[in-house]
Amino acid sequence: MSSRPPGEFEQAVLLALVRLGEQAYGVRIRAELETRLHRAVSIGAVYTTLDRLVAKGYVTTSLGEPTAERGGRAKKFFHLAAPGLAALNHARQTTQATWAIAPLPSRL
Amino acid sequence: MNQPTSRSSPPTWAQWILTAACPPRYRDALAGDLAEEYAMRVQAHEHWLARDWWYGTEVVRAIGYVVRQRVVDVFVGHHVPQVSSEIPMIKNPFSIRHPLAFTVFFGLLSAIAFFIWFALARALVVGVIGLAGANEVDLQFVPYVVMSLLLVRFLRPLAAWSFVARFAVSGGVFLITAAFQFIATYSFAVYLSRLPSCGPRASFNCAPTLSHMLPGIGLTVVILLALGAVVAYITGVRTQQQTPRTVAVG
Repeated sequence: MSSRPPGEFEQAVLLALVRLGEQAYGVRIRAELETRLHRAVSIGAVYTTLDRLVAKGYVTTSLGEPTAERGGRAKKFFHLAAPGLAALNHARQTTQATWAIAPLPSRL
Repeated sequence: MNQPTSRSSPPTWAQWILTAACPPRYRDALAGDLAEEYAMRVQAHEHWLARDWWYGTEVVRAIGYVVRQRVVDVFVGHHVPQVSSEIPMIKNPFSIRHPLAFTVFFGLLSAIAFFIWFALARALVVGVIGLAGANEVDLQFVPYVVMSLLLVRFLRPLAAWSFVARFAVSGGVFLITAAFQFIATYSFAVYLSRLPSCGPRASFNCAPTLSHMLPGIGLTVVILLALGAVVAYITGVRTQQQTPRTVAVG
């Protein structure tokens, strides 16, 4: 059992799921992350993170129809689950509480 | 002669590697995603060499993450949080899912530590501690003792098991770790015995034979089994003392 809040990349993946809604699968999630994070993201990083989030109960999955362009393989769609939403809220509250400790000085 | 864009499927070798390395739970989805992006590049009339290079690098990068995650899964396990308004504190981040794999890993770690100790640190430490009257023979079990203490730390997740199960696993881990240690020691002794300048080193000037070692090995096994029983007992005591700690969220 772990109380560790989702890490930065996990939070980004969870938020990408929120943004993409029902169309969240590997290719789109990666494209969304690359657009938002302004860096290249490996599909392996996306899937291992999603796998971890599924194991934590933050994310659920469903399978689409197999298509020819995917070599007859089905899309795997990912959906944010209630514990994932709770974890995101918790992470946001923690971050806000941290930044509320003191305002940053304009210069040192 | 092939057209530059005539190949429309990803390289077979890369697909094979991807299939072999990925766990089944997302193997097809990941391979399908890469195939879909590859198909997009075919439609964009990208040169097949560029496409194959992209696919190969994607597979290699993906495997790096997959392998790292699999190692974590084997030796640490998934962290599954409680789904409620209360999130439990971490009792122990380690949950050994495959004791045999863990044991092999631990044994290798022990052997590596032993070599580092002998090859790098021993001369310095003996130089310092030698002033207090110790010698290198007294110190050669230091890495093993350190590893054993770490072992107790790692074995805590087994606390929920029965004493017999804890004893079987901890004793087995000790024995396998000791086997690695023995191999490391023996190899080191053989290595030293073949050095041309090893004459003055009385303890290492010839490779030890197994028949000379048998009584020592038997005694070591008994001691290690006793250590295993101690660890099994300690882990059981820790279980009874541990109480769940929780913190409220928000």
